[in-house]
Amino acid sequence: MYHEHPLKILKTASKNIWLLIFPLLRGIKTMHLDFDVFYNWIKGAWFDILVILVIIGYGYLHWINTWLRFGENDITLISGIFIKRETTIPYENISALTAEHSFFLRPFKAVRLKINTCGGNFSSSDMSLLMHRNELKEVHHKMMTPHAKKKKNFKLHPKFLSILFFSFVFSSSFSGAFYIAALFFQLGKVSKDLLEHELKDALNQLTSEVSSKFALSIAPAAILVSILIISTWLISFVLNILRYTGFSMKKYKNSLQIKMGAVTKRHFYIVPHKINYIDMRQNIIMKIFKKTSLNINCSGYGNEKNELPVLLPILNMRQANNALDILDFGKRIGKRSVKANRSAVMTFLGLPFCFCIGIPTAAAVIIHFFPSFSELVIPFAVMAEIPSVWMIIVKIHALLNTGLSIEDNFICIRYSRFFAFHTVLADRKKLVKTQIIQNPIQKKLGRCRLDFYFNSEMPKKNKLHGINLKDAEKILKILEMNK
Amino acid sequence: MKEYKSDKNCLNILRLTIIIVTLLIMILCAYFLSFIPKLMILLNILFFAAGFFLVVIYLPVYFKNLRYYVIDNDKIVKESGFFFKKKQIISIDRIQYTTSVSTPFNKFTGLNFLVLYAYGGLMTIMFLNKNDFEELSFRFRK
Repeated sequence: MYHEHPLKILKTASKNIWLLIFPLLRGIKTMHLDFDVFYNWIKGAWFDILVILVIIGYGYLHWINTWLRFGENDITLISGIFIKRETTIPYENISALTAEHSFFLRPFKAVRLKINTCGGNFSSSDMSLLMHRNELKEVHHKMMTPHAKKKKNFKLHPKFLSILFFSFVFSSSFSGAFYIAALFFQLGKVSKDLLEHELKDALNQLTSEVSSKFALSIAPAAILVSILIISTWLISFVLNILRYTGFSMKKYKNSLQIKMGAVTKRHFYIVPHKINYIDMRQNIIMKIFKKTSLNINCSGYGNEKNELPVLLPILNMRQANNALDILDFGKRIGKRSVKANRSAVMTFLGLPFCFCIGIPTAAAVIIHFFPSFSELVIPFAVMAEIPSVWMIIVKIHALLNTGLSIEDNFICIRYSRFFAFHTVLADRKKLVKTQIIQNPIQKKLGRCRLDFYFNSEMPKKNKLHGINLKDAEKILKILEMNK
Repeated sequence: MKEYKSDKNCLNILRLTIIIVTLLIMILCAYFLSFIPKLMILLNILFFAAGFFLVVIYLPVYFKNLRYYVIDNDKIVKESGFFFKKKQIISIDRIQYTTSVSTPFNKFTGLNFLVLYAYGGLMTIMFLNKNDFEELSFRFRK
């Protein structure tokens, strides 16, 4: 039986403890080495001190009542002061282990271990433990016994330049903004003050400076939005570099080990046969450079906020095929036996085309009726038009490349989702559901959308648009026959 | 096939808790809304009706319908519901992990919960007496 790391006491004690510690530190700072002053301080701050002691005391009680037991076949976590909660996970059901060596935990020789199975919540791990680093080795040894590390047979350590390229293509303003929002939310009142005063002033100053340097008259609001988009993208880019620096993947006979991270070092241990499917992701830039990123769908890997389930960040197509072979998925990305109908132009290009036409039209209408808004409307219209044109390019490529093939026991499907291209490769046994969707127009044209669902903690549709109904039915028959 | 039924003590504990909570809410309502008598009376009638419905009708029927079966050590079946009867079946070999929650004096209260996490879902086994709870916890842990 083990306890978690004593740092857990502070973790359990509410985060609001800091709100009490700062006034306390301020009090200590202003205090002189004088018994009377000390007495007066105690007299004034006794309630704060009592609250802190109660919070820490609760944390200690919780920690002392939390036990870990490593049985022969399972791990058990027992916790709770009055209400006892006992979670038992058999080793053989573990799909992924994550050891997080955060920079603030390293000096205390503490590590956060997350254990995941194919069941439970998608967004959180099934068991999360704060442990001493020395105990981690023992845990690893016991936990990976059913999936014992045997001879190491593959190792990949991408160069920093590859990581840089990967971070560049997979960064987005949205994830940067999401991160900032989460940070501000966690900072609470401090963030409110910061937003109200410091940040607002700084942005206003920056906007007016940039605005004065442009020869064209661009509305400050448009410049502000541009600055926000660029800065959130930069944040996402830097975070991705920090997350994926030092990436390495080792394949043992029965386990995959992935290491990454500059500030917080993360070690993942994945059981290969628990991988549901492989997803090769590309965008237009990667298509031009003939690069791909190899992702996996496995419970417990890549399901945290802003985390990608990447197995190999950047590969060329030959390397990707070799990697698939090594991962026992074989070289099965061949020619498509079923392709999207080339005349399904509207299915692929309808929506982006509407945006492409609609945005300038809407802008023209607004300027016609409210000419004073032209300075504001034109830059926004240009900014919105760029992704629409980009989307048209992506969807033209998707129209020419969507399709699927079935080879041996593997299904390989190619499709596009938003701005990304996916090539999904899965064992047929992992296929859970297929469905044919038709709207009235498609019914007349004899076309449909074919959806594939694979084993996954979170159901995810893999949609193939513009498929001929006859082809879709043929595929369903083949899949049915080979059940 | 072995059948497990909910603990009657637990039903009584829950009834008692609901009666106390309802009375407390009614007293607070009477105290704070005394200056709007009509609203206070209306709310108190609503709270009383809700408490009465839970204690006299809902809980007894729910507890009567709540039962579990283990078939051939292969499947666990849960039957529950009030208006709509619900039947959940989980293959025991599909269970990934379990969490058991036990409260103080669970021998007398029957407030025991066992959560079975399987592929794509979970099943909560609740209100079993201590012996049945321990038996099932042990069985699914293996």
